[in-house]
Amino acid sequence: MRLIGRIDIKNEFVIKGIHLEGLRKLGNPNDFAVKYFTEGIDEIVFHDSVASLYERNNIFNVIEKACEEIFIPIIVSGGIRSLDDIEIALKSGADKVAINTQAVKTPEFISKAARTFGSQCIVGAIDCKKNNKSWKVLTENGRESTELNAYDWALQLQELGIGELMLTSVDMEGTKKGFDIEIIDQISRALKVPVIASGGAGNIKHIVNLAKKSQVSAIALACLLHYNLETINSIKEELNYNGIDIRI
Amino acid sequence: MSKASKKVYILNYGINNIKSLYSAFIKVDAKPTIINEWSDIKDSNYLVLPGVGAFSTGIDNLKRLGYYDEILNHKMKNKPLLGICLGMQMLFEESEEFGNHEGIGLIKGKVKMLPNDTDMKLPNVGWYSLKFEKDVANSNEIDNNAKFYFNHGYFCEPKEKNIVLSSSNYGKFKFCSSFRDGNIMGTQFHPEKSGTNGLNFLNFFINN
Repeated sequence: MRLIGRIDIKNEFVIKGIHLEGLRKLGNPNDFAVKYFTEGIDEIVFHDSVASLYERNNIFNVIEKACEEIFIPIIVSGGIRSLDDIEIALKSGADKVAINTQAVKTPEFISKAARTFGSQCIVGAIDCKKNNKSWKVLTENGRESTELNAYDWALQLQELGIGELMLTSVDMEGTKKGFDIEIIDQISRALKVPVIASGGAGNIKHIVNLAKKSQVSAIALACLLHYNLETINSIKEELNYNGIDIRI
Repeated sequence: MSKASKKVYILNYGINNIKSLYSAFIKVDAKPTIINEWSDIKDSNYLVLPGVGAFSTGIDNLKRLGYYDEILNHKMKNKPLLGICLGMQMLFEESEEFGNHEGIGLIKGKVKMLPNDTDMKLPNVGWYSLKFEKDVANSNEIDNNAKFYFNHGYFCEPKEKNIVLSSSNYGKFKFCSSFRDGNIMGTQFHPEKSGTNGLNFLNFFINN
């Protein structure tokens, strides 16, 4: 199990909202990343929350600085639309890119990206929202709905060549009320590639519960860490105590 | 103090996340340089072959840039060489990634796919410990329980088992996670992405 610090960025500030909306400025992304690295986080996601909407990328300066001090994997997410974007991200110091909107628009972009850069650096990103008994895929950082079913789309992304999947429940995101275990469980059991679960962690129990009840390989945390509600160490100790393999 | 003079040349052969590797060597007080042409290498103490991506693309790039033969000849020159992840794999004779492809062949053995008939996730992404098969001299700084970051679907199977420096587990399946053959080393994990323990490993490379 990996614990990932998810840092959402808007105009080079760390921001956090609820259901990906109502954003609050929290500080400098690098300060957050260095702190989490020092405290033992296993990976960092920098998510550019506006890149997809305004068609611009200002996240790369953040990454360039981050990788001078942070020696763990870095995922860049948000606004990755072309092979050139991926190349710039990797050259800036990212190890992987997470792709949502552009994958929905042109699915073959994923297979092209996987062939060019290797599956290991292509993370499929799904933002999903429950609708009756199924989960629909959202794009543009949660602003646009689609008719795609999240479970089917996850399988298709795997087929297209992703090396990992990052699954965010928009219903739970920022609420601190716990993960949407049902869809995470379904998708993480169905996929051969590792699944990163994101959205909803509010306490240690939520994390341990998800780790025990699903096949997730990694859990992304934002609020819990940003607001100092728990320490990385205490979360890891508790996971370890519950028999879940984690780097201490 | 002597560390400050250790020159590390990092081979750039296309799309790599070289920046982290560069920063990591700075962190361990070495003097890294990113090499874009072989002729830029003057008096290298240490050579690093990074690696991300597919095997055949990597080999093609090495050939295109004229690195291939130079690496092949490197063994004669008694300079330490470190291959990381795909960089390690490319040093072997052949790989079965997307069909059979010939590697540089500095190290005897093959690159194979991790078993896909287990309930383990594939690719193998995460932090795993190393079981040292050799007594690692002067490596006090590498903790035996330390975990390192892996992200791979293929692994190296050296023909000569005595070059295996460490092995790691993918579920119950044991594979070579690093090797050392004379002045050539390879790691399947990413030391530059493995926190303090990874930096310690790089330190070990430039000091042994």
